[in-house]
This record gives sequence, C-alpha cells and structure tokens, in this order.
Amino acid sequence: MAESTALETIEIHPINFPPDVLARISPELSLQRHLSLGIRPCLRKYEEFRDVIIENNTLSRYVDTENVDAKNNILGSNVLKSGKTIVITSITGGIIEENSASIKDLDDFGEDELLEVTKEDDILAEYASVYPVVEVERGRVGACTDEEMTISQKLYDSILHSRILPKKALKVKAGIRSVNEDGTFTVLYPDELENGALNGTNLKMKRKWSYVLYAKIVVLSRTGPVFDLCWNSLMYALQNVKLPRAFIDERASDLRMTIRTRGRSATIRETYEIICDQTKSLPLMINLQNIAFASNYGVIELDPESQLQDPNNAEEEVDIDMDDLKSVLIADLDTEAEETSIHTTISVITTPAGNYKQLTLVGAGAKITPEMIKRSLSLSKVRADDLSTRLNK
Amino acid sequence: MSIQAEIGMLDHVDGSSQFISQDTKIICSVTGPIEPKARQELPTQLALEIIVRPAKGVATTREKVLEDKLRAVLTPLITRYCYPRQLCQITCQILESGEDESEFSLRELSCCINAAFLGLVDAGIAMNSMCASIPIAIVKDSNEIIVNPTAEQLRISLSVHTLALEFVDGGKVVKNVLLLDSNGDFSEDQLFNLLELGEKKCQELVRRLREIIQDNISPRLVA
Repeated sequence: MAESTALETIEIHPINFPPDVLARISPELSLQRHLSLGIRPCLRKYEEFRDVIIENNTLSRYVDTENVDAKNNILGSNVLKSGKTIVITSITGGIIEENSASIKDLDDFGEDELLEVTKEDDILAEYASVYPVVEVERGRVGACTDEEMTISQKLYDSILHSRILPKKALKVKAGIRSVNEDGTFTVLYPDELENGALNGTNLKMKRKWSYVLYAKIVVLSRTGPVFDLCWNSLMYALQNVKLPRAFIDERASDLRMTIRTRGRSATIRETYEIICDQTKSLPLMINLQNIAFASNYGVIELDPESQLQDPNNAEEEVDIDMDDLKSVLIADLDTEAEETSIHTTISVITTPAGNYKQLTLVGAGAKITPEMIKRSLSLSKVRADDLSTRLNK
Repeated sequence: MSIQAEIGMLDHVDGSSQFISQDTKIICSVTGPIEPKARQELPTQLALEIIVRPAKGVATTREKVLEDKLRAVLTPLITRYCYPRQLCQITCQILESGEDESEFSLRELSCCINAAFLGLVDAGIAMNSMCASIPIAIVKDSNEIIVNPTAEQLRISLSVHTLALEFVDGGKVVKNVLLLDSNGDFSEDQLFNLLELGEKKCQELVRRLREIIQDNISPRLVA
C-alpha cells in the first residue's frame, strides 16, 4: 500500500540553468533577473553608457598633409569602438554638374532670379546631405537587410533635417589650368590669387559644379542597435573631411561649337573634364553649431514575478500590486536580451547646447511618461557634451 | 482638422480603406489572417507584412523607413497572439503625397497609420486599442505649432513631427505614445507643448474615426 502511494506522488524538480544558458533560452527572464539586482546583462547600471573610443582621419588620403596619398580616395574617416562593436566610416566624394547652371546657360537671367525667389522660403533646399551606405557584417553575403536600408535612410534624413551641411559648402571653386610658354602647366585658383588677376569675369565659367559626399559605414560585431553608433561615427568623420581642389583646362573654359543636324542649328559645348588636384585640398565648412550626437534608451517594466528573492528573508511574502508596475529607463541598449525584450525605445540626437535635432519615441511596450522623456533628454545632453569633447583629443 | 475616410471599397481583400487629409491621399488594403510563407511564420504570434508603395516610381529606402515606422505603430495595436502561425498583409498605396517627397515624409506616414488602422478594423482583425496619428510642424519666425500642415507650411518649418497615440476606453483615455518621430531643430519646451496640443487633436481625430467606423457598420447591423 505504501508502495503504491509512493508511485502516485509526483516529485517536481526545479530545473537549474547556468546564467549564460538561461540567457539563450529565455532572454526576457534573464533580463528581468538581472534588472532585479539593479544591473543589466552587460553588467552596466541602468543609466550607464558604454565608453566610446574614436580614431579620426587615420584612413584618409590627407593623413599626411605633406605627402598626400593620391591612390587613396577617402576624404575623411572615423573608426569608432563602443563595447565590442566597431564602426568604420569612410567618406568619399564625387563632382556633379549643377542643374540650375543650365538655366544660366540660356542667358536668361530673369528665370534664374525667379528660381532664387521661389527657393527663398524653402529652408531645407539650402542644405544637402550625405549619401550613406551602411553595411552590418554578419558573416554572410547577399542583398542588404531592412535594418541596413532603414539606418542608411534615417542617417540621410537626419543630416538633411539637422542642417549640418549647407549646399554652399559643397560648391566647387574650380581653378583653371593653363600652359605656360615653356610648356609646363600651372593651375590657378581664383581665391588663391591676391591681386584678383583671375576673377570670375576673366574666367567666364558659366558652368557650376558641386561635390557630393558618400559615406560607407561598416559595422563589425554588432551586439545591439547601431543607429546611434553610425550617426556618431559619421559626425566625427564629417568634421575632418577635406575636399580636393578641382580645375579645368583653360581651353575649355568657354568653348562653343555650332552643329547642324537636319537643317536645325544648335550650340553645344565641348565636353571637358573637371580634374581634381592631386595635393591641394580645402576643409569642408559644415555648420559646427548643428553638430549633434545620438544616444538611445529603452523603457521596461520590472516584472515582480521574476524578481530574485533575497535568500535571507525568502519567507517574506510581499504583496504585489500588478497594476502598479515600476518602469525603469535603460540607457545605451546593447546585447540581444535588451534588444529583443525592450519594445519601448527613445532615440535622441542633440547638440551639447540642447538643440534637439531628432527624436524618435516608439511606445510598443512600457508606457512612456513625460518624466522618462525629460530624463532621457537631459542624459542625451550630457552624453552629447561628453562626445563632442572627444574630437579635440 | 478635416479628413475624409472611406471603408471597404475594395472587393478582393479582407479589409480596405481610403484616407484623405488635405492633399494627401492613401488607399490601404488588409489581407489576413492568411497562410504565411515558411520564413515569415511566427510560432506564437501573427506575422505582419507591411508594404508602402509611393505615389510615383518604385519603392526605395524611403518607403522602407515608412514601413519600419508603420510596423512599430501597428505591432502593439493588433492582438497578435490570437492568430499564431498566421500572416496579415497590410499594403498602403500612396495616391497623392501632398508634400515634397525629397524632403518630408510625415504627412504620408501619419495618413498611412490612420488608413491602416481603418483597414484593420474593416478586415475584422482583433485589436487591443485604437490609434490616431497627426502630422505637426513648427514654423520659423512665429514658432507656431501647426497641426496638419500644408506643403507650403512644411517648406518654412523649423521642425516636423509625426505623432501617433494609442487610445482605450472608447477613445477617451490615452494609453501610450505609439510613435513620435521628430526631425529638425526644436527645444524641450516646444516638444512638450506639441505633445499637449497633439493629444487634444489626436483625441478629436480618434472620435472622428469612430464616427466613420460607426457609419460604416450600423447599416449592416440587423435591428
């Protein structure tokens, strides 16, 4: 009889997992267990940021100002290391002919003025952006992921709306190459000559060019959300961009040809190349007061059921009010556990002075309170202030 | 804020809607719950496939970002655990953007959110709460906060914002901020002022959306 009762009883053994195994099986529970101890899976405090190590301009062709590496086409660069993640930004460029110049070609200046008038109240039309391509290395090849596409597009939008890069700064002040009597070439730049011997009217350059900037951002060892790392790296890289000087041949500065096809005559210009100077460069003049830095936050409710109990008073039963969940603000999200379990996120881009350039609140999880927003904004300012001082080191 | 909306104009999908606000016009179709492809299937929840098609040309990274933000808003709205291993396709076709597409996307985004919400209601997908979204701009010189700005007002704006709020209790109580996407140059005070104003305007809009849904459903009810 005693034997049969023994068979009927079911013994329940709690299963124990080492912390790293639990983190793989149930990241949510692992995160809550960590949070109940006042730390995060990455062993940081709630509002602790990762340190950032940066290296500026080490990949650029202008590293050595005396001896420019002509084969290198990188105009500015930054390598940013934060935790295990490394972000490498390299900025390259190109030159395009401006469309608006073609209106001037028609010798109809009235239309050009009209264009100026209509542009006057379009604030964003005076600013340009960088064309970024983000690559998050995951050890496989193939088409770009949605994450890479959205980060690239967000970087583009944020730079445009932050008004960091005025179109004026990208205008090419083209020089002119002329052949001397002894057969050697000299390149004259209008702004380098003091006596103004070669001013705009002498040059008769009716075409206008501007630089376009491309940024290639490679992310290695991604461990969490990377938008803010990419943004910060791009900000550092933009600040050390140098644009190569460009020139055209003297012969081509104002050359017209009349051609006749099927009885119609038209004037075309001979196509000619605009050539970049091998050594000379000018720094990119960006709006320094608009330089802003990004940081991200998450909000998560502490689940009272996953709290680790204090072994000293394990007997103590605490009444838990499930309607009154405590939420905490987590700064600088990292690790898979935080990324998959925290659905409410706050992303801020701000200048050290507190001019906010971008803010994204996504409230898919815990409730976002005004206090949380205020706290994250003030932390962002401190963070931006800290990051902005790194450049001068 | 005057809007026009229509529900159930498309015959071959489970739910559809059209949302017009000023010059922005969106048509949205919802198909689901349906059988997903193997790679889309989630073991415990409804998978969402969100597609945004631009007014002109083919979809680019710009539409990918719109899809990403739309997904962030819709995911918490839908009672996803009701449909495990199922898929819901939500397609928003922008008919008229009503803004300069090279510079802004906020009008399109907020109209897509409203259109998708109405489409989901029409498809009869279980939802946790209601939502309403509005575009906001702060214009230069006067620093005035303008709700539902026109394309001209956007051009002279210092900052632009898309706000989407989650409502419960018949649209009376704000449960959470589903999305606030701000770009430009703004201060903390401006941000909280616009959140306050935006809450009022979203509440008006959610009431209007309820009316539209009511007008659509009541004829179908048997007295």
